[in-house]
Amino acid sequence: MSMRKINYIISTLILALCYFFWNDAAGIRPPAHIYPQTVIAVTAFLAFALLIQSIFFPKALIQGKPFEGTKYSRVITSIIATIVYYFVLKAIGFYVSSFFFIIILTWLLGDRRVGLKIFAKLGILGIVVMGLVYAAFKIFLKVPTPPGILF
Amino acid sequence: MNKKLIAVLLIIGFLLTLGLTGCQKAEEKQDGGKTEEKYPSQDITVIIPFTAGGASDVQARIVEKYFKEEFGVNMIITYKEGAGGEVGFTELAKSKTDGYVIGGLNVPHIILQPLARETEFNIDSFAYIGQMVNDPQLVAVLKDSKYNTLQELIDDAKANPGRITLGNVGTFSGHHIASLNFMNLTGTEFTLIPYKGSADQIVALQGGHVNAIMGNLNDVMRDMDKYKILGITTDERHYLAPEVPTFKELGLDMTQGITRLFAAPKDIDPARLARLKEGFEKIAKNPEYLKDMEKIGQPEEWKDGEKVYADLKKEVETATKLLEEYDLLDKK
Amino acid sequence: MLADFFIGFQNALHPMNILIMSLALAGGIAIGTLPGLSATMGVALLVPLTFGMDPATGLLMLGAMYTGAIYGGANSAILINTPGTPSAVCTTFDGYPLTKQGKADEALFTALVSSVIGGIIGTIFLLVATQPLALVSLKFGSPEYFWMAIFGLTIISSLSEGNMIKGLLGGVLGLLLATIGIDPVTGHSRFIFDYRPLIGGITLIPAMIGFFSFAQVLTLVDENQKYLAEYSPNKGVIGKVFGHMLKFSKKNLLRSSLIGTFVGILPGAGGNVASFVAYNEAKRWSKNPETFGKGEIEGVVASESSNNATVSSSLIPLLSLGIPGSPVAAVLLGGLLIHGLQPGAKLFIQTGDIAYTFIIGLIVANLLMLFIGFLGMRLFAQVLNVPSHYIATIVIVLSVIGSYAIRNNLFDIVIMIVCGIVGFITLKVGFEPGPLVLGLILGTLAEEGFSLSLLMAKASGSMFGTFVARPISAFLIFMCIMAIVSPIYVRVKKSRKNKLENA
Repeated sequence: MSMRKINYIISTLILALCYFFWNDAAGIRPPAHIYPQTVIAVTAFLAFALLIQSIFFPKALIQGKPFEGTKYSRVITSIIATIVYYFVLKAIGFYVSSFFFIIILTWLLGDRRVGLKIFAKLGILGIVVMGLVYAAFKIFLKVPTPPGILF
Repeated sequence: MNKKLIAVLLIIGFLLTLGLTGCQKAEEKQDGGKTEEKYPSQDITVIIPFTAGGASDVQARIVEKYFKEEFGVNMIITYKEGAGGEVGFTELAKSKTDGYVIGGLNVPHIILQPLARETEFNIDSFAYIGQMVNDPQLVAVLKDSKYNTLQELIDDAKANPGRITLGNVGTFSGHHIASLNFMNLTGTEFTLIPYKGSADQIVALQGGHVNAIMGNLNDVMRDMDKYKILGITTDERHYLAPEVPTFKELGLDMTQGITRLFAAPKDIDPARLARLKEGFEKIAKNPEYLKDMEKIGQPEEWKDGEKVYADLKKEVETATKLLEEYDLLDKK
Repeated sequence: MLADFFIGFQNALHPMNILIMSLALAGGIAIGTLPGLSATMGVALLVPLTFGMDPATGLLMLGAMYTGAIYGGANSAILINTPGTPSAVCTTFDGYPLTKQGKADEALFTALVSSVIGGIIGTIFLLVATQPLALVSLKFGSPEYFWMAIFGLTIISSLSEGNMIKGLLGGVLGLLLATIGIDPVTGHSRFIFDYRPLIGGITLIPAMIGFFSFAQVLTLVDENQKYLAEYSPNKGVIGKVFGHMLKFSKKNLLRSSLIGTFVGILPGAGGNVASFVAYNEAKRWSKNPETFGKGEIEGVVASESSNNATVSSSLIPLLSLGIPGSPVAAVLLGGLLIHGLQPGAKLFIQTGDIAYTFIIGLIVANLLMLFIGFLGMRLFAQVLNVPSHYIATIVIVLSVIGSYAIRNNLFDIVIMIVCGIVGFITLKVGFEPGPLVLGLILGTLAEEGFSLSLLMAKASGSMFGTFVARPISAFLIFMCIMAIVSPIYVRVKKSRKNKLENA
């Protein structure tokens, strides 16, 4: 996708966002509506300016293909793993889920070799990291971590 | 092929450990429910719906000092701040009812928020343990202000409607409702300036950015000689500021303050609630505790949970009327 | 007073106090380094520990924790492009490029020395100019805060590297995100679109962790390099850094520390605002502003010296007026009260020995930090020897716990993840996270300043009188105009010069 097309998409998205915010802001009692409406108006104006700029400016100024060479599989794997991690953590608690998350995602992002040695290594990594986190958060700082049915 | 197999095995193993430990936990819980007679047998979490270091936190920290002695377990303070306390209030309302989660509540916040906007709690969402602090509202001006009495301020406000500014903390807060009540009783119109916190309010007063403030005793106590306190909204003269005239003496029938109480979620076991009530009352009457409270300048006043609830109900009515008068109720 | 001063001096150098301060510093540096664990939290966690100590020692411990935490944010900012505290956002702009160039230890040591110097300058003001500075902070009313926020927003133009429109757009989107939640004036909810969890608003720290930490993880994953950066310890780094700073950074250090001191005394603005302003000024006054953002050591100097200068100066309103000027000061206030100390002018009169022990102790803590920070730095730099996919996973775990711990709110984790994904995509298409986070920081300040000023204007009947005809407001408006005009002037002058040369 070229930068020009991306700019079109972004400005349209932001304009849509402004529309929703503007509708919501209409219900605010005066004079509290002035500030948010000003911010929305400025945002919409800038989004529009971006659109105009993308349409009329010479090609040379808007160039590049920002998503070229993106390793989608790795990025999407990380995002999905994090989202799954969030839901698992919500259900079973922070420490156990983090331990497995570290092992699984590190393996997925590494060279994905299979073997006892590599999993032992990852297991140790998980234990060490979570041990340090436990010591820091639970014992030293007494910061509460997300609770769950497990640990 | 091999890779996939191992991955599958790993996931199965993970699920198995999960399931097993899960069952174990569940069993433990069942046993625990039947055999456990002694309460409390584990640490009690206390939700404080404001930031660390705020007035509610400082008070809770004092309670913490005496908590272990009374209950034999620790009190774990958890801050759940946001939306003027609403995030924390909601959290407490939805918490487990096993008696191991209680929280600090502030009045009138828990009365006003459900009136002002859609909330997931109201005063019926909690079982009240008791009130520990009653911090009365007062009207204060700077030392060199031209107002010497409350009447002078009221007269000036009558002569110049909307021209006199009165500093508040937040909207739909204790300060706000006290200001509305004050304006309603005296037939005056002030411009209310809602500051974010009491610190900002005090800066605004000391810097001369507002004409007067509706503030809490706790906030002005630290530098009493910088202000003139025109009147305090208590029934009788306050023990921490005996030289300040009450609103009653000045002919205004209003008592208003921010009170801090402790409560549990509504459906807590009555026996456990009774134990908590007993313990908190003991702490509230401990002379050492009272000394500490005086040090931090928070006016203590113990009130039993049932009385708290009865008073809250009355307050909801008056607040609803007042907000209706000023057209501030949530219309949605 | 002089007697109190000497007692303070003695107390501050007591071996026991030195030991406790060292431990608190180490803890503070660790807390500051981890994204999400804030200085406020660190200090709050230590307050109960002070119950058993004598007040002066307790306060020294809290002060050392605060100092360490504000400095610690620089470590992660420089090494993994993830500010450990909001005050370190500007440190990432040049710190991480330096790491990429293999100069990690140079950047780390510069950050340390700058923090120490900034901290000491701030503390000197706390020692000698408490009362006058406190009076200045009282002069700031809502209109002044509004203009200060606007002045802060002018920084966006110098932060946006590529497309100016995108930079500005990022800034206003930050302002827009900051409005979600409860309206500060009416008390009603707005922009939550019937989605309950949004009622608490989008707060700075989870969003910042998302835009910087999580987005950075995704960038790392995308780059797929074995290590974050080439790193081998340089032997002569200490000499090199001192040499450079003595020769080139004196003005920058002084200016940034003064900016930090001044911004710090204002309740409502803190290290995060100070470092943005100082960074911007360093760039403006620099002979080669184009190197900023690409690994300019002066950028690190400006950001770090200014944010540590705010540590002491944010205590000025607390110690002299009894008004907590920052969240950490609020926690300290709680600590003081529990010990039966009355903050305010009386603190220096009634308990002068404790007050001076605390202030002199802060200077000692800064000097101690030079050594402890140096040891820590060596340790943290080892991160660069860890394969990057290990770091990626561990940073995700820390981001999750960090965004949760700030308010104990699961929804903040969702905010972090969403901001991270959005941040990764927008970074690709030319939106830098800097302006967006600046917008989030200044959003509440700007809105509160504006709305309250409006109410004041209604009461006084004069818009002009409230917004403009106040000395500090007028000065800030002048600064805003200068900030907008001067880059244009420079650009015009440059193009004219180019034309002349070409002709």
